[in-house]
Amino acid sequence: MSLSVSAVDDLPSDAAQRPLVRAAGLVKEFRRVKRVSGRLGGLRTLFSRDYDVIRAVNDVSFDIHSGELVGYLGPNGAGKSTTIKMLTGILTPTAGAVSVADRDPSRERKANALNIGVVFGQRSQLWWDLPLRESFRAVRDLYGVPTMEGDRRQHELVKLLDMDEFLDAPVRQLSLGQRMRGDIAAAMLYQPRLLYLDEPTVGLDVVAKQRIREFIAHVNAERGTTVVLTTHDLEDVEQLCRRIVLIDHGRVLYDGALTELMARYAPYRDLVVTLASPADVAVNGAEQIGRDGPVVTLRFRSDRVKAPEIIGAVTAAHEVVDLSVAEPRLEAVIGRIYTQRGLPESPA
Amino acid sequence: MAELTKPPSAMRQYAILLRVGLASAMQYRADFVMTAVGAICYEAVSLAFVGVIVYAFGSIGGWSLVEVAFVYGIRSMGHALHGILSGQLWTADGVVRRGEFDRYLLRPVNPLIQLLARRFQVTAVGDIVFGAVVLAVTAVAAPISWSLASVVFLIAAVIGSALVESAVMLAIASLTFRLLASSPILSVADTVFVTFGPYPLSVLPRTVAHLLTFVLPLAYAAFFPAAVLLDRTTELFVPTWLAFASPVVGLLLYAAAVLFFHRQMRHYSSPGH
Ligand SMILES: Nc1ncnc2c1ncn2[C@@H]1O[C@H](COP(=O)(O)OP(=O)(O)OP(=O)(O)O)[C@@H](O)[C@H]1O
Ligand SMILES: [Mg+2]
Repeated sequence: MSLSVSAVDDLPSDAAQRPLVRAAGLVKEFRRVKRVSGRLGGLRTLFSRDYDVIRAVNDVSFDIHSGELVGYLGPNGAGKSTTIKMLTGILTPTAGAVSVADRDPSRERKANALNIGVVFGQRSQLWWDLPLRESFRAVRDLYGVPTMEGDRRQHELVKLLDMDEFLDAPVRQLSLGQRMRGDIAAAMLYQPRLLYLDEPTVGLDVVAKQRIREFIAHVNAERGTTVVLTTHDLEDVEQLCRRIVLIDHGRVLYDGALTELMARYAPYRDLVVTLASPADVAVNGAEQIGRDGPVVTLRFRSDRVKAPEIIGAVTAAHEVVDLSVAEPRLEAVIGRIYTQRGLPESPA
Repeated sequence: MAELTKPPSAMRQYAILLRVGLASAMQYRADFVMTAVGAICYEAVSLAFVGVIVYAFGSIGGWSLVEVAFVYGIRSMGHALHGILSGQLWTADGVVRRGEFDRYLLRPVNPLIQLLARRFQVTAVGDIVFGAVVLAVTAVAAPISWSLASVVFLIAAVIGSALVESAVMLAIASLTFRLLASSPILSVADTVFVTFGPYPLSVLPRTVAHLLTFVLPLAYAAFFPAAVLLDRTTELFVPTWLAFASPVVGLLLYAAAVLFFHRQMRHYSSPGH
């Protein structure tokens, strides 16, 4: 008796530990037919068996647990959207396996559809000619959301995303930011456990971006919705993601905490001082990395020396008018990784 | 809470999507009316053309004007039903190339149903009205003594006619997933259906008649059932039972085409973005 009780007790915790999303050795190859040139080139291309193989995703593995908010990052063409399409079941992997809530998305598409919400910033999923309100109704009906429940959720979403004004406008007349909010709301109407957002802030102004970030943070914190976010706006990442998965050329370069990435690859601070009279500054433990008239930028390893020590050394040697300490920007770190097309060997 | 959410049946979802598709089409009201009127004119012209040919020759291969018109009537109504069911197949290559198909794969609805109900086919409204009138008139004029059994067979034949045409077009549209283009091939098949559809195929050279029976199965779409109803099965170039089975052939072909579509769907490679 006590045995069976403990067995039952074990189940939920076991289920909780099992990842919501598991990608194991994912590979996706696209075939691109080689163009045949010359006489009747177009026609011969049509029947050509000659093609290039593009490996857009090359052995990608990761686990995502319920409640996480993960940034999936990488330069253009890295394979982010292709991965997301395999996770959502749009594409079938060439090799490897995906499971979402213990289901294979491309095989159990219908069952999986209820678990996931998907927004592609570049491509709307709403009905172009219908008023937003009608699109919402269609989504609710197709998913079979009970009327009362649907009304409640829609009301809440309209309030959260401030959509009252344009609810009756046809989608084709909406601005990009309005359409994006509509798309996000449509993906949340049936309360999926998992939300994939592929560039949800692309092309939006600062205020619109901020509203969407707040919404993402809200659904993750309040409803426990797991979020996988792809974006080129690192502000999104800094504000939202604790964990990032960084890929390039279809391979995972980094998978871990954002703070860890920064500590590992940018363990420095910049001290910017404005001197009374222009001069080069040389102090122990810091390196001058820039000078613009009287404004000098010094970089020091924050894990080796303390800011006050450097400040002390500078003020002892020069008359300082103004100073500030700057944290390294994620942008700088990611930028270096992208240009080197790999992780830096050592910190800067 | 999420447990309460359960998608309705496929039929119900089809109805929901038709409602949405009709609402989308109604957004362009002028277009709606004009297209419907245009479709009726187009059909009237093609009927007049058949009339002129038969009138000029007196008869085609021993088939009188009213008999040919009856073949035309079946095809006309079959084509109209086909338009309602499958009109959106013409947009399949755009849907696949632009990646609209992505969203069909994300919803808890069969993707083929979403494609077929993508937008309400406005021309089909005109075609249906026209087809019903032509079928009723030609059926009354034809030398047939109607019974309950023959009326039931006629209805089955018209549905079968729609399914045969839809099956061919669906099979071709399925190639889109690999070729990314299917409308040129759809045009060819459509031309064959429109050109040869309303004629007694027994007048054609045997090879052509066989091609239109076993390769592009046009014969089941009007000629065979009309021959059965007009009691002209003796001049058929296939066993009589096959002509009787035309509606079943339509059903089987359509089922095969649906399977084929789902197989080809695996080759969908969503455009990058
Ligand atoms: N349908 C396709 N056919 C052929 N190649 C494709 C297809 N879709 C994507 N690719 C290729 O796969 C690679 C990865 O594309 P993907 O869209 O996943 O990149 P991404 O990381 O999302 O880039 P971005 O940040 O620019 O959106 C690219 O080289 C792209 O050209
Ligand atoms: Mg992308």
